[in-house]
Amino acid sequence: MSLVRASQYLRFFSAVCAAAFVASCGYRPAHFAGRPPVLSEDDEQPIALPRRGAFIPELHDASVYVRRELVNALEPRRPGEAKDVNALDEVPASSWFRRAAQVDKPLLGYKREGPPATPFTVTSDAPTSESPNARVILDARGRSYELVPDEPDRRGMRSGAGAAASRLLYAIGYRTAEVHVVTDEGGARFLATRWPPGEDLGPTPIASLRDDDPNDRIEHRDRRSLRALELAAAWLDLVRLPPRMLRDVYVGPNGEGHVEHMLVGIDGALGVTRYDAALAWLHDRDREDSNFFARLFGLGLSPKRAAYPPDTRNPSLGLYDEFVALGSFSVSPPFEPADRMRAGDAYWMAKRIASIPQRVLGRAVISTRLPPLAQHALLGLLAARRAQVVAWGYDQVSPLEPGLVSPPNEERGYPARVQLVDLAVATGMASSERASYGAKFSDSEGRVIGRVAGLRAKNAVVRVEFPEASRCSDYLVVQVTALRGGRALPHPVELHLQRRAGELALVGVRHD
Amino acid sequence: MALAPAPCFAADGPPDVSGIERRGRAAGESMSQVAEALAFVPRNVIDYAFRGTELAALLITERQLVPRFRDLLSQPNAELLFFPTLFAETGNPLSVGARMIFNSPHLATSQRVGFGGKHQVEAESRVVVKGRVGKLPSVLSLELSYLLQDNLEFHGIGLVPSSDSRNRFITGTDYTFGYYTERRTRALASGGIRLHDNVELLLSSSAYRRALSNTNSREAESVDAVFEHDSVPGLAAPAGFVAYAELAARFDSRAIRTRPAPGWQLEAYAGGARGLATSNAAFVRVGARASVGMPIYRASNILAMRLAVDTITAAETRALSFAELVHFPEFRGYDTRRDEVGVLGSLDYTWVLTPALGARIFIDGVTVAPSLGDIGFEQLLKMRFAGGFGLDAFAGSSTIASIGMSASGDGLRLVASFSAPQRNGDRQHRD
Repeated sequence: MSLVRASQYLRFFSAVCAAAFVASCGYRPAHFAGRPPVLSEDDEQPIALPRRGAFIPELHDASVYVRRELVNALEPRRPGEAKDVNALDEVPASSWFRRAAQVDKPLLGYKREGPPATPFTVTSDAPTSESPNARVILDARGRSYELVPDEPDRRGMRSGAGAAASRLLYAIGYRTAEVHVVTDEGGARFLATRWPPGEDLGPTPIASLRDDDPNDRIEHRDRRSLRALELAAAWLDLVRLPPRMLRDVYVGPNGEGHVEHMLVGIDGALGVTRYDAALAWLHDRDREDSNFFARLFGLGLSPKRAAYPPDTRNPSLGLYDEFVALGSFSVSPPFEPADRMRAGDAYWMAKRIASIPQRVLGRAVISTRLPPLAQHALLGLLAARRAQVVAWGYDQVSPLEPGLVSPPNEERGYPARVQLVDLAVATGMASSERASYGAKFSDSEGRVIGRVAGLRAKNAVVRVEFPEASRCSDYLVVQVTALRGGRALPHPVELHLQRRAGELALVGVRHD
Repeated sequence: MALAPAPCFAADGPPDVSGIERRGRAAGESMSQVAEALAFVPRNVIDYAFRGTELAALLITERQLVPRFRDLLSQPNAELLFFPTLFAETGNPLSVGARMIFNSPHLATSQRVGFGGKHQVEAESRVVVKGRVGKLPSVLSLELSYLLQDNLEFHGIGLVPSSDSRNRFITGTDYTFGYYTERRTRALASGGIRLHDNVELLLSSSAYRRALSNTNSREAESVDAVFEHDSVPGLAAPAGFVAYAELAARFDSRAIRTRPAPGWQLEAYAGGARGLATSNAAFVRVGARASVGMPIYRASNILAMRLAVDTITAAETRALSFAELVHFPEFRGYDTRRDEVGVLGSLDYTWVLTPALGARIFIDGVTVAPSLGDIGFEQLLKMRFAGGFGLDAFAGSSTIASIGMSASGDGLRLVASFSAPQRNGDRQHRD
């Protein structure tokens, strides 16, 4: 190629880049189609029994520790929106995430088969739990369960944690294996997990889709339910999330069933893994520095940190602290979808966690069958941590939920408006005196047609009146920003309204 | 607004859950789009390289290729492993290849090929039969190998070739070394017996042929262009087969033998060679190695010291081919000196970064001389040193990849390798 032609190509390329740059400079809102929101992914269509996926730990480690780090480092843009989110910024029901049949009874349907029926037969199958003493049994009905005993000097710690955490994740909406605390004739406690409830297909692939499941069509790392799982894990202190804990199960007769994606082996939650790690640390004579660079540059000679016997006030509880360090919490091994969690995903999870009624927390705690004092302590810890997680999630966006959209009322003299509930104020996590709101109105192309500031909430409800200019718009975008003490929260809630039969109707919501 | 569910199942592609018919655009997004465009290619190359490898490995595993091949060989307890190999070094072409290992309780085979260009080829095939002599574990190994290496450097003989009278440089040459090509074919049989948990006795015998010639690709810098014609023993001489037999004894008290670990290693060997047919080679090799590894502060920090002495002595007055002279491929600087006696000392300090990754710093010192008596204080002062840093990747207790950098008087040397661990019992594999 001659130099002249090369320079022509260069100029052409520069012109295209410049045109693209100019064309893409300004804000332009998304445009919702105005269809009713999707409430179910409809991904439970009958399929043939998929093969059991092979899992190669070395490949997984290379993927999460090397590929993931390199690819993330070369990703200059923030991750795109989660792809399993409907027009109302909610996650529809799917084989990944269930929506409770009754909102106030999120544990409805948890108990499917109940505890194992005696007598048991121990099998040689490998358990999914990391506990070295876990065993797989068949009960008197021929159902398969995993039994995980408690540590001898920590009666109830592991079994209680598994029972409570499984129910709480189920109450959030995850599909969890059913677990019960059982005791043998000698009074020894076990965590009994009904597993598998169908055909176990192995660990859920995180970085790819299942090519043998036509229902599996949304990239797993772009599922909000997985992106935001780390926040639920922070609440329950589920610090280990190895691939064996997310598993695919084929449910139903061959050819008529479908794949469900389940959480199993959660007995390390509520500080149990931290207790195990503290014990291992105590017995570790090397006590390596946890910081990679300190190890690298310290030539392995960095001082050994002190170790003390792990202890809690109650031996039936793990090292489950009442404070959550949300800024530094992460699961191990790295969970790729969590890298892609956006503010809206965190807010959604905070809402899910906040929506669990207190009595459901109580039921989960009762299922641990711990002594009353331990139950009281655990309930207090769960509530304290929940408040922190929810408050943090609500701080990531403007935590406003749209309510009624009212047409203009000539008699009372107010224009068309929308009401929003400030969830942080409504739940007492933010003071209404310090809360104020601003709104920006634009048309479908992002042209600003009005602004309003200094709005106040009354009983946590903010009324945003539409400007006169909105009468001419068939599509109106309202961005409402919450301020705390005059400081704006990171992302406004964006409401999309479409004119139908002369009135504006809500067709879409986004929180980041 | 009615909340009747909308259908979302689409025949192809992901379902439309969002209800969005036109994507939005944030203000100032164009800058991140430019950055995105710049990073697009490297990001996707890395992403798909990993995913492709993962997919291939899963396909091999899920499609049961290994068990099927195992069944074909009627060895139900056997394992078949396939490793890609890669070796890169400063100044040499990248060599890529593959190694396939079949391992069963009584029989193991290994096939290895490496390719670094038209003049850089390596192939090796081994069969190992495992058994017992009485109650003692033993192995018998048969091997055929072929090695073609071009652009090898010959710097002359001795520690300081320019002042060594055995070297006859062409007067006025600008070069201090010349390039040559080596083509080696070898058949090797070896037997080993473990007398005790830590003691092994190895007897190996090989017949090999080393053809050495001036390099074709760099004629102006070939050995003949730097050294006087016919002054370099073994170069361009008719290559005949040489038979070599060697007895080696080894003591190894380390609990783990494929990665740094505390313990002692002692090894001594002696062997004799005689030319077959057209070759008149006749020489004796004697040598010893000793190393000790000890934990420093933490059990995983290992300080290892090693001393190796190799000698070769020609029988009667026959000339030794320069390719047979002692040199040290283990020296982590540039291995450019050779003579009849060589001493290598090294100090390694290794520590653990993660369970699968270790780091090392090291210093090597090497010297060569015409005889052991010549290795005196003055000779030691002229030792060649190389020091550097490296990272080793482990799979279980074996090292599967390493990357390292060393600095020496000859310059920087970078080495990267990825391969399956080799556990060759006999010493001849180091030649």
